[in-house]
Amino acid sequence: MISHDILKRTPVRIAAAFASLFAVTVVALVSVLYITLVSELDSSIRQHVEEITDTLTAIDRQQGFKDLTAVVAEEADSVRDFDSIFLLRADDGSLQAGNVQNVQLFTGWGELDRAWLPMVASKGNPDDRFFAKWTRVSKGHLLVGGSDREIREVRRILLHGLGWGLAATLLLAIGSAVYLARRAQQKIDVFATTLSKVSRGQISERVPVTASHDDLDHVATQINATLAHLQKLIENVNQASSDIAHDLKKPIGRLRRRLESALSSDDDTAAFRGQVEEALADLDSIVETFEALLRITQLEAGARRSRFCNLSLSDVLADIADIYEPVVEEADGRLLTSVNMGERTEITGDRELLTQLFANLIENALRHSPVATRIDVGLEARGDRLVAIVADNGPGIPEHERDNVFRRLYRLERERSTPGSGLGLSLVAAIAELHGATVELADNAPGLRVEVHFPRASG
Amino acid sequence: MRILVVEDDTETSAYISHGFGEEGHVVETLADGRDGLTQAMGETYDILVVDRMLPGLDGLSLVRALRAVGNKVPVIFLTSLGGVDDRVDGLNVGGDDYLVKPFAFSELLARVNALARRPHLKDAETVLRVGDLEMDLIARTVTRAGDNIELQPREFRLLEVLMRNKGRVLTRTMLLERVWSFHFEPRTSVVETHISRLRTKIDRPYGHELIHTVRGSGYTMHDQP
Repeated sequence: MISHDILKRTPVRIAAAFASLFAVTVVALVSVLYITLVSELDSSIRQHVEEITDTLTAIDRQQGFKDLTAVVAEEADSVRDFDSIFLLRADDGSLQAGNVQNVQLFTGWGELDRAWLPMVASKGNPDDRFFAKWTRVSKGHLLVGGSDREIREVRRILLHGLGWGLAATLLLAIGSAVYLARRAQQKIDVFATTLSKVSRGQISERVPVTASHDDLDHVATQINATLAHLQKLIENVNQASSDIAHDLKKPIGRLRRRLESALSSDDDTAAFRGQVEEALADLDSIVETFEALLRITQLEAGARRSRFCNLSLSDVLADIADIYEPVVEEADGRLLTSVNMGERTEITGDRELLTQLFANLIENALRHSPVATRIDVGLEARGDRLVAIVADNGPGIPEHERDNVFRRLYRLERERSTPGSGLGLSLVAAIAELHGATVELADNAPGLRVEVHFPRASG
Repeated sequence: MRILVVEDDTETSAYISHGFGEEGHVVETLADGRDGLTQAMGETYDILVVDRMLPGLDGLSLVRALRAVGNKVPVIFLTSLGGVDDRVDGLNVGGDDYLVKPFAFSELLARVNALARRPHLKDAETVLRVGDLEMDLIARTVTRAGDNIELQPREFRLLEVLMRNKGRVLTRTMLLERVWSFHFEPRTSVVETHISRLRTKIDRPYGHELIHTVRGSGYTMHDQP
């Protein structure tokens, strides 16, 4: 079952991780910005203070202390918003001019809180701090300071932005998490329902594949391929077992009747022996059918591929044609071989199984065709494939039956009365598939033309 | 002959030992693989009939162990239906022949006879003889009563297998395996056709048959009338 605990869903976890990552990124970005801006503003305020101080000391130097006092007083008066402080003190400690009072002498830069500064005027923002510096002038000391108002402004704006940014990031992350989670969950739910339907026996159910080709669609495609394979296997097994039940019932029934009548043939020993011998023959053919079935099953499971080696397909075909030529002639037929292969006819395979494959094809042609059959055995190279051909001039297989004849135990209607297990072509198909070859049936006009397309041996 | 049968299915085991008993052989039967190995190492047998699936120790391991200590007693494996790879596995560990259950006793008997009395052909022996039929393995020629007989390579091979097993029965299946490398049962009369062709060439013109059909079993070659 799929957990419905929201925190355990993968998209939610991913979204949470991303939200945290984004938040950390935003905070880091804003911090860097803040530090850079503040240090920039800080030094520009100090520079401004230095410039004013330089101007004022120049006045002191060139025009004397008196003029300086006048300029400082004027400057202090003209300060709007109280963004600068001035204080000029004579050597005797008396206040000459300025907008603040009673500031102790200190060397270097000092930071003065507005709250602690006795102000001449009570204007200004009480939160202001001032970067201030004492400078020695001709007859006293001059204090010049600049307010950090701009820095605080920047801080306020950045904090504000940070707050909104974080809020927006979180909102986006949560939103996309919910969206993704819901989307993925919908697909996963469909998988779950489909698979539970399959496990309840509806093997033909398939998972829908959307057009978005995302990872879940890949999984869906895989699931569908697996299901299709399973379905084919199950159908094969079902088909085979019902075929076995169907087709073996007849010979087993016949065997039973023979044995019964043998039992009742009181004292006629010769007849009794005859019956028993026929019963044994029946039994042998039943065993043969089973053997063939098991062989097909094992071949379909991929048995024996480990024993593959490179071999010449033309050799195999020439051998088999050689073996069967007299057999076909005995049946007043002709077997013609056209296996003239100057070029390489190497494939990777199992000689024994290939011999059986072609023997089956030739025997099929021989058994299903009228007397005076003509069987052609050939080998052609077509591109990267080697095509082995067994063709006859018999009745052929109707086009709509051509797929069916590869099914186990399947027999054409007209052959129900002739002996045969109906396994020949399924075995051919199984051996071909093991070799990566495909079997094609075609009309030989008249007759059947079987082509087995082999991949050439690599290397 | 002294035969050891290692087979856990008591019915099969009884069937085999009864059959060999009738043929005048001495048969000992064991049902456990380990007992089988101990017995085969301790005593001398002419042939071993070993089932692939055994309690205690499986047939393959039994034979592998025997071969590992240098025991060369001929071994026939018995195996159940459908093992596509079984025959090759069996031969790989050092088995000499292989038979799928269920089998006709005549088949097992023919194979045991072929194995047990396999004559150690002297290297010098390059000419096979049955009656007035001669086969020269070097020159690859066949003559009967002095006449040269032309044979196709496959006919030559068939005749060679028959002649090498002079006096012994070769079943259809054995011929299929040894002459044509068919390890399956063809549905047409491959063996019969080729035997008949061979007979036309080596027997028919001379009136005295050397290739004999053993009813219900197979073929044999001898020149007894």
